[in-house]
Amino acid sequence: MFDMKRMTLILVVLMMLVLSTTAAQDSDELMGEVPGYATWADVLAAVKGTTVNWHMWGGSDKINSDVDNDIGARVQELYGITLNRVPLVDTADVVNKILDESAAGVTTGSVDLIWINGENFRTLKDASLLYGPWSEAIPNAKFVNWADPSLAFDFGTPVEGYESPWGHAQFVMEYNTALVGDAPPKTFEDLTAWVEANPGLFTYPAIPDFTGSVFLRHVFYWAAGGPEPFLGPFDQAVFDQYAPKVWEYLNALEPNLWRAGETYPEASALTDLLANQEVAFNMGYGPGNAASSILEGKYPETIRTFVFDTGTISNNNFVTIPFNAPNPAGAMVIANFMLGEEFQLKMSDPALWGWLSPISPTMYSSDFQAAVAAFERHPATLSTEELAAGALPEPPSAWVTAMEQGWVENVLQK
Amino acid sequence: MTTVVLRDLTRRFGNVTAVDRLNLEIASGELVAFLGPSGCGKTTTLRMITGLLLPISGDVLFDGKSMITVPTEKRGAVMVFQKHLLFPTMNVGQNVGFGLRMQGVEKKEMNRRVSEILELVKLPGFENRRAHELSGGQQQRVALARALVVRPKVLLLDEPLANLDANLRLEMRELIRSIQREMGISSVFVTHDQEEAVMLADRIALMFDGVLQQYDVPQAFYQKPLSTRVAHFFRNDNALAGTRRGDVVETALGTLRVDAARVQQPDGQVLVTVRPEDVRLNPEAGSPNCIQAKVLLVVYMGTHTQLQLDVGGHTWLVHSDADFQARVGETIPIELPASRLWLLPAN
Amino acid sequence: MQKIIRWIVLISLVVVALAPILPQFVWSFSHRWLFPSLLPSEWSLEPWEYAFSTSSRVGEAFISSMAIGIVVSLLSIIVGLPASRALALYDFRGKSVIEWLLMVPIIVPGIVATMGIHQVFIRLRLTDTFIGVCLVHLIPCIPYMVLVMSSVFANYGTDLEDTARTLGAGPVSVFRYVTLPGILPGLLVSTMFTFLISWGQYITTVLIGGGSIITLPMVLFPFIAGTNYSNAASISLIFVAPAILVLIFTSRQLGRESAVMGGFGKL
Repeated sequence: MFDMKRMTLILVVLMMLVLSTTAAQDSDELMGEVPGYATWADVLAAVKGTTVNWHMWGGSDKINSDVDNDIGARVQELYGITLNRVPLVDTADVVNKILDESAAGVTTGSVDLIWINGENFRTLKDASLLYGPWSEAIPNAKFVNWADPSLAFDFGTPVEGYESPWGHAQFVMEYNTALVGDAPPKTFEDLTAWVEANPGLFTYPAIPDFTGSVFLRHVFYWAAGGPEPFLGPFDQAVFDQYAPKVWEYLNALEPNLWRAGETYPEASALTDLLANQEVAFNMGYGPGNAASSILEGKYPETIRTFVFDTGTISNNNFVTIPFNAPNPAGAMVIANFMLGEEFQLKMSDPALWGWLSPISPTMYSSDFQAAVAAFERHPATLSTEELAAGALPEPPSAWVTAMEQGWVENVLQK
Repeated sequence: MTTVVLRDLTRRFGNVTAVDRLNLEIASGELVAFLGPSGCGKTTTLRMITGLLLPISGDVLFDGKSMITVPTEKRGAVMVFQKHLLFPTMNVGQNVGFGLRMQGVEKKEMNRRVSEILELVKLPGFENRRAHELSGGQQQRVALARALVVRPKVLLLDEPLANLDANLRLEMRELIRSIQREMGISSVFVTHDQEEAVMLADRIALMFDGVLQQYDVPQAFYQKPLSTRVAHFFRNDNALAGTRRGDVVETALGTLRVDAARVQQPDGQVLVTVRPEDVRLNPEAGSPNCIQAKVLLVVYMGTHTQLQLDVGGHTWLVHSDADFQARVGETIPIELPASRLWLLPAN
Repeated sequence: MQKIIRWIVLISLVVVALAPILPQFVWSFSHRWLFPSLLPSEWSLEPWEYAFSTSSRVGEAFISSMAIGIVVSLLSIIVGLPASRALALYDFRGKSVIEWLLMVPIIVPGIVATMGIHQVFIRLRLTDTFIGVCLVHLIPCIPYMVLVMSSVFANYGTDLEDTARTLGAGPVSVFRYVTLPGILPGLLVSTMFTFLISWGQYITTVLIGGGSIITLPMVLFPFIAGTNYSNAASISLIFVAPAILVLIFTSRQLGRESAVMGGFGKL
């Protein structure tokens, strides 16, 4: 059964490869789908001397500088595009702006590109407030394995050409070897045992916090023996089948959590708690976060990462273009640049960005593959193979909402 | 030297008529007091003279010229307020020189006139003092100097003495009187204190509820009040109902002779009145205008004795010599001298 | 003796005022500062280097925040001064309604008001423009200006202005020589608070300015939300610098003996 699935997957990938190579030979034809531009040459001709307003979360000086240097400076050199990076506290701010503009009938807004995924993407796509479809038509889309469910779906919402991936994220657990030792609890049974033996040193962020929510999803996957039951449309019967085991597990954990489970921290606070050695574990979507935090001085040197034996959830960072973007051509050129070999190499380099790539290295040149193979990994970062082996998909948002509500009713208020 | 005429001056605030068809004339160089209880319209009238407030109808004339369309700053009617006397951001010299500066008087001339007027208000050399360093009385004098230095056509003072203690008030009263005489400026001051009005003013305009009651020299308010209300305001509540026939008035207590040349009420229903200090006690037997009164109360006041008498059912106040003896309940004869009798309209 | 007490009071005031800034200062030079260390174990100039780099956009954000703050302050004076005078000194129909409406932007969270305003501004083509951002900042700024200034005007009264009128001063001279000098301390203080309110606006600027206008809070707040304390510290020190200058100036003004400043007692 499982082999059958894998076979189908491989077949689809092969078909996509064939399709994308033919597409690469004649990308001009595919551009016909993209509103306003007949060929990629038209797109390139339209961008020289223009500005692209990229609205993105601005809370990391490293990402801010890296985007300016590795994307902004390069697209200026290559295409004459000026990148105006607009820092945001919350991506929802710009989503609201687009909604307001649409309600007021603004056909030419000011936002060209948004770093987005999940709920924010769904909001804009459901309201038909996105430009496109375009992401499968840009030249470097040929590198993207569109058959991969984590690229074809963004939290269950079909991408359908309305956003383009540029970075990959996978959930990892961070732990302090000074408190945990070298063998962290990699199953939920072991985690319970460890927490009972070491009360007060573990907790997870209060839901509906983004990070707390993904931890909860892992508990559901564990309870069901895998993600499969939650990948289709929401089903109350399925939910009711597994939820009691989840609540039982988390409620049993509660008395031995940090502050006896009377309160749950926010994600940013949990990061501080780990840094200050008040707890032994943190968690999040950045496999390279532990390494870069150690290098930045935010973490002690003794922090390492692990993934559960049953795997961890992964998703992708996308960029999208709103329906009223003044410069969609410039935005597409930047999205295309970010899928190119040059940028993906910098992004994969632990010494530079230290992110995961959404593209398989085999899609790029042999030089690329050699360079990636030669990267020196920080001891706090897991290998790409270790991560990829256990990558699990995200469920559709309806499941996420039900799980979050259930946690509040059955764990928090118990 | 300016005459001021107010003609049918009327002002309403919402439904309240603050000043109702006011007519009066202020002669050149005259000092007039606007007198009345608070809210009677006297300050409103003052503001209408300055132009800070416009009347709903009527006219203000300076030397026969209508001022209605002339803005405040061009009227030459300077007002001294009761509170917030001096500009806090200026020193005394700048305060006093303000009006001259507005007229564009050159600096040297301005300084000369400022120091001259400061001498006049007995504050020589105070130019560089700050306003808040001065006492209340000094501030009052600086404010007065600031008004006088521009040689206004009309000087308007709103309760100029209200915030001063008794000694300062006396001093200030004399200062205002003497300077006003000396400079011959037509002036109006507002007061609710009848003694102040009597002592300072050439003429008094008494107002109740926005209506002018009587406009006359101070003595008239004592000797010839036009109504019981006016008499009451000047502390005379003595009255006896009667009927005038020529030079006699028939009352329940007998027939009283009056000076027909003095009294102004026509024959018919009247009220007879005599000021408390004009009633004679212990009249010689057979004197005219003698009536019987019952003693209700005797109060020794030091300089005199005050009696409360029942006169034909009315309660009268009478002042007697300090050593006058009377018992409460006793009936005594009193004389109402014909030369002092005054007749008020009945109601 | 009295001098010593004065110095003690002064020093403790400075300490109380600056105490919250001190950790920021240390953070801004720290590379590794983990609990329970009292001081960072590794120091670094990186947060400051980043703050002054073009990538941080702090420089351009500082200039636009400053320009917006100045324009907003001037507009607040132009609109707020006559309004506060009218509210303080005159009775008119609907006065209490206006007073109530003025309180609304202070009570209602900015985002609620701004979402509605955004639509209006879009229709008026004011979004993504400098003047649009200035206008939206007026919404939280004007109530403060009017509340403070109407209290100042009420305290100052009209007697002095009327006196000046009767002494021959026209309306312009009255304002220049009597009204303005009298209300100036209050006006300076309220103008500076207005400036600071504009200086601290985030969500209004994001919605109306939408990325065309980058202000200091837009650069700073993502770091605070992202718990990037070192970078947040260096930029927030740049952010609070004008506020501290204003505070020092204001306390000097408030300290002066001035009848007009008594109006602040009512607030």
